[in-house]
Amino acid sequence: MDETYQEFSNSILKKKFILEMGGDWKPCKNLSLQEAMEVYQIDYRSRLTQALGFKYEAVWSVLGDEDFFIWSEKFIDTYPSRHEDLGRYGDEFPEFILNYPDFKFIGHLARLERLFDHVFHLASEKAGEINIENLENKHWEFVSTLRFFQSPFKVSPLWFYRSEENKPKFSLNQKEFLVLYKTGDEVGVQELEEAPFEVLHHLYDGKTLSEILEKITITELQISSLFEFIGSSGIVKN
Amino acid sequence: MESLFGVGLRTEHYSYLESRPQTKVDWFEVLSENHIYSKGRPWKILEVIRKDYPLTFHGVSLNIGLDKPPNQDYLFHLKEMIDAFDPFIVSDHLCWTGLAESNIHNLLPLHYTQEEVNRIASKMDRVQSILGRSVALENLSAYVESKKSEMSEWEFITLVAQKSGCKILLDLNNVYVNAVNHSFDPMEYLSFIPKELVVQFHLAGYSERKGFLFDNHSREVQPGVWKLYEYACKKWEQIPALLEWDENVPEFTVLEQETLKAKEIWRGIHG
Repeated sequence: MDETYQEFSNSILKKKFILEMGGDWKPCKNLSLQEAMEVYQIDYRSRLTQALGFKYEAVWSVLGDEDFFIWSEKFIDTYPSRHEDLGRYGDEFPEFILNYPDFKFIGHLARLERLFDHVFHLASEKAGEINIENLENKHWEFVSTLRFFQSPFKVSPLWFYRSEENKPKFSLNQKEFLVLYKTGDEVGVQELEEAPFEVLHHLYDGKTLSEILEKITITELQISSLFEFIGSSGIVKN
Repeated sequence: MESLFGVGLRTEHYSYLESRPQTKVDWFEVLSENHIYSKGRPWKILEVIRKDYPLTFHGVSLNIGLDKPPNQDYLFHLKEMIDAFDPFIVSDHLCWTGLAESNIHNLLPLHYTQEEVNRIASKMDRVQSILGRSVALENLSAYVESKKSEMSEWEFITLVAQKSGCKILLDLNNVYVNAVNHSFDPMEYLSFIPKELVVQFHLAGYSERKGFLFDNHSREVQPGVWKLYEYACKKWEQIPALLEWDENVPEFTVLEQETLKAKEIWRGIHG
């Protein structure tokens, strides 16, 4: 493509006016070329910041405006948008934050938000009937919207209460195990204990309950609660 | 006067429209990229609205100006959406939106040269073959213009349409904004465009920045644009007009009021 387009693009992406482009483009009205290009620069950055804010609403609420915009700026400087769907911008944001040791829990919160966004845009699937015969040797098939999330920090309350000014007190410093899935138009989020989470994950991977119980220690109460959830949530396909 | 007055579907109105109210608009224009990659709520809302209204699809990512073959993945998804909802117009913009390695998410100006006409018309022909239908291209607003240009904007869009067989979505707000910002007569623009090429109008409200007009669709349609619409209604009698509102999006009733103004102008001319 004509290199003047490349200069035009660089001038927007690099946040500074590229002097070389001056020969081929003329600004409108009384603007200087730099002022005219700033219209595009500002628009580009504000669209990407808005996209990040939309997808990572809880991260924004935890960081506050000032810090969120600083992080967004850093991220936009590092990751230009590539996909035509602005909704896909910022998929690398969680790992980007996780690189900073002081912000680990925010990185995991961002992972949760990215996963929620992903599930939200999936087509919902009809749940099947559960047959409890031969439960121990059964191979299960789950709906394709089922996703697993685990984190060294309990971040889901930050997400659930992202719009509340006064968030309830809770301890971040505990592990968290969640499953996300879609029933109808809604995204379901269910917290599980570690053992039932592991069991469900193995069932999802195609193992039978008897195979799993050889390796994982789980109480009868936990098993019974897990299957109550499986039965009532609509995550089983057949 | 059938189905002439539509509004752009915006997320701010999803909840209201999901209840399937009776509205004063005839159809909705859908921003393709807001729905194309989702089978969640953005897709469901189209299923709800399509029960009661015709749709048009308006894209911002065709990137017809990029000197690369059409994006097959994007067109595959667009075709899937076209097949599902049967829009009566599919459109995008006569511009470039980024290079192969980046997307600027803005509508960027081209060099108005014969070389670009040939290149874009050839790519547009390919796009229409893949989609199996005619596509319209919209004139854009720009804050810079190319010194390499050999012709006016209106000559350029006309030549691209004539050479590729595509149609024109004439954005009257953009014509007005560019006319003020780049000092030309908007009537010369509208007079030049051949009658048979135009399939849709866009109306929107620009804002005034220090020293120039900014096309951000942030308020009511301004008097200069209504004047162009009046002229356009005389030249093009039965062309659907669409109101766009993208910033400070108001209640749906405000959009309805704006479409009623368009309807009044049309009625004043055609009865």
